[in-house]
Amino acid sequence: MELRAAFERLLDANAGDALMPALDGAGYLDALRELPLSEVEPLLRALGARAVDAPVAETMAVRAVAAPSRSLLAVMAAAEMAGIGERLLEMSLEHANTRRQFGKPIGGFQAIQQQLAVMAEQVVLTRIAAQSGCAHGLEPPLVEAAAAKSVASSAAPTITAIAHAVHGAIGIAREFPLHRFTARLHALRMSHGSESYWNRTLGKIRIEAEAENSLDFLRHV
Amino acid sequence: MFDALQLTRIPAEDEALRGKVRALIAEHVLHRPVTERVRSWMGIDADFSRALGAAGLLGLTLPVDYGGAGRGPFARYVVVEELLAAGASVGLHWIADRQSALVILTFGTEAQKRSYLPRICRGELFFCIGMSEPEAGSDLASVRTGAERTETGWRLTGQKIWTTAAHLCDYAIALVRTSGTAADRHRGLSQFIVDLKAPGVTIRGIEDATGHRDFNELFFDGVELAADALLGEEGAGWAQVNAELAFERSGPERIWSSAVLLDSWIGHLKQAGADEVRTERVGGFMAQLSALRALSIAVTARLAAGEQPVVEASLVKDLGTSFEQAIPAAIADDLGGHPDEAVAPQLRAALIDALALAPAYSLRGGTREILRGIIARGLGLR
Repeated sequence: MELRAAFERLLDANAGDALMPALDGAGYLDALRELPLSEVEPLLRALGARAVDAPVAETMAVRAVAAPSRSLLAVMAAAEMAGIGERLLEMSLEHANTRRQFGKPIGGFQAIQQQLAVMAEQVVLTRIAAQSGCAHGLEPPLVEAAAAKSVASSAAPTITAIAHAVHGAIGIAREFPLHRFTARLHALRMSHGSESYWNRTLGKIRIEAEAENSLDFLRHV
Repeated sequence: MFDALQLTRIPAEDEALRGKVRALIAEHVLHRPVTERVRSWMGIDADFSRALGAAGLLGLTLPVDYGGAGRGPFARYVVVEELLAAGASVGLHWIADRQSALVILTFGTEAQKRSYLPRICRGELFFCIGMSEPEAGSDLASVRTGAERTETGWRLTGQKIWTTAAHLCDYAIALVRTSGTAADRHRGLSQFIVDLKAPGVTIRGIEDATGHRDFNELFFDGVELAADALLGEEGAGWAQVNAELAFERSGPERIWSSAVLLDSWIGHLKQAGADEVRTERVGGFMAQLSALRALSIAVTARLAAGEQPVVEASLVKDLGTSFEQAIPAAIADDLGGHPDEAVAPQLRAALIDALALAPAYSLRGGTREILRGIIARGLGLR
């Protein structure tokens, strides 16, 4: 928690071109050389929560292993996506609680509530998938990486669509920050393999596996 | 948001239970046809329920003093996921093991605990749910079944419906009105342990779309109940039934209902060959299942910490049942998309049953809309 808080202060104090040198100076770009991936995962979510588009995760990976695998980059992207999802959910809840139509906050309408519930489900699912993917160090098993990035990428269109639906027209205005987060989520969905890429990878392994059933398969990753 | 749901490992001593469960599954379940196993927790097998009890695999979280195993929610999680993933017929003991026993343990008198719990743990006593009525579904507080005081106890009059396996069960835990009127809503409700063999109880079956009799109607025509049929406090029924629903919704069973069908279809693909579209579909389901299982284990960790993770469990149930429903729909498209391919009659029949039953997945234990309402309130929306 303390690590994430210090990291966040640095992110918030350094915008644009100043960010990478500041992170480097404070040692964060070498984080994966010193800490397990599972402990770096909250930092990746903090990047996502600010829609940082500098190549922080990729640089961390390259500094830790000269040629990082697609699996490693994918689980790190999934963690960033979880952070974006968390932030988009916060923004959408804030908007739903303050924007008034028909004499009350739009969050009081069941049609909005049910959409936000679905959004929260997809955010929580993405987060646990990313954490599972980041639980195995710098060489994530292919099945874990595939599951993490597939779930995160599959959730992205739902999360962005609901965020925009709740925000209404202001969401696509350039001056309003929402589009920065949804654009970043769309970009990461495609990076290091989208859901169809990872589903093909995972499906092939499952079909060829000798496992007794799917529980058995998932338990022996 | 929902930070309580954290990636958790199942403790080693609970993982160790798998061998015991799998031995029973090998003996009782694996030879059964897919059409039977696909029914999962709607399937009935009294011998198997008793075998689980004899092996000490029922009432795992109940105190040893009452015949339980004195273990935590992770032990139950492991046993339940093994049973469901294999498609074991667990319907007969399911309700007692999942919720009735816990309601009795939490709210019952010492005598009630001594009377019911050891027999539940041995797989000898089976319970069903007495919540829904013809005019009270999602709006459960509008139940009209009533109990009035008599000199010796209570007299019960009214009707329950959609009661799974009631015709094979010994008792129902019924939510009924003991004072006031329907306008009093949450006040004046109580829970009773109703002996289904008592005079005045009529059980009538309702055939489901697949031709099975799982559902029943229960009629109470002036049923005389002893004073000790009251469970918990008179008038506290609403709080108690919500605790019961929390037990009902927190289990891991809401992600595995279509697992046997999924695996049977994967078996078909191994034979028939899998092109890119098929492979992608399989991978998508495995990815979702992997994350859902991690969430289910995270909910179990909250139970193990002594919490009642109502909102978190609702979230996992809604995701899980959507996943369970997507599987038969996708397999129907897949098999129909290969019209010249031979399909085992068992797989086809299991698919047709699953398509017919799947709508119930997001009705039983709280509808999708009710669950999303609970999640929205958890998000602070009013």
